[in-house]
Amino acid sequence: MTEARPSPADPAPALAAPGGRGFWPWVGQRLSGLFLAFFLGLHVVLLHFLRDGAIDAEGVMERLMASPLMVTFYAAFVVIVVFHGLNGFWGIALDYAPKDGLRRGIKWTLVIVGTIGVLYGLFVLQALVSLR
Amino acid sequence: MSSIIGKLGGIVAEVRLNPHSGSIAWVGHRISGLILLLYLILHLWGLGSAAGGKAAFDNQMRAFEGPFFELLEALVVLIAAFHMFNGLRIIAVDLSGLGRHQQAMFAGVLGCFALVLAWTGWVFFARVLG
Repeated sequence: MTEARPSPADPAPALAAPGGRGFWPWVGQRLSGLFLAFFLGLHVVLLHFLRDGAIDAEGVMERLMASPLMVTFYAAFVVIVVFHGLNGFWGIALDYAPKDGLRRGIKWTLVIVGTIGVLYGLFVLQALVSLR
Repeated sequence: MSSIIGKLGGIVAEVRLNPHSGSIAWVGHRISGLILLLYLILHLWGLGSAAGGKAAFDNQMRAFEGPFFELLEALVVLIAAFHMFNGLRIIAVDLSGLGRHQQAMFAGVLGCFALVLAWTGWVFFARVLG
């Protein structure tokens, strides 16, 4: 097959130029994915498949207080899931090879959105832990 | 910068020009990822009602009950399941020597998805009908 075919623009410039997708975001996506496969998998099995009845504040408190590790894990969960989601979005954005300025703009927007997302997620976790 | 239609057209073109399971997996992974990102936002927003106390939280959770929301929840679970199984396949391709078996792995992804589909369907109908 020798004919030229349209494809997402060559990602090499995006990788080489500043603000491009480096090695660590790539590795980070896979490592965070592994963590999420385990913990999100567990979360969904517990809260969707094995759930008995409606979801209410008491049930949430019971689950969160079942072990001192629960809150720690959920805090890590918040950070990791926000990273994985926005880093994934970053990968999609890079596929369209945005020009320098736009790429930097998207990157910093994602960093800001991610920071707000993590802070909000931890705020929600704190609210869930202190449900009364 | 070309239009949104142009960019979606790029995805369609990619599949048309490269009509193999790998392209289907790629599109599925991308679309499922975007949907899950939107779901994450909704999820944190819904749980955020806890800031208003026990009553506010319970009210919000009650608002999410019923067959329609059970269906939406089942769909999110299915979308997450596909994204997870295919994601594990991607990790296997990228970080192990199993890359040459990527097509067989995709068959495995679909197989695992079918199992989750069966379980999800079972739970859904049990809840909606029972």
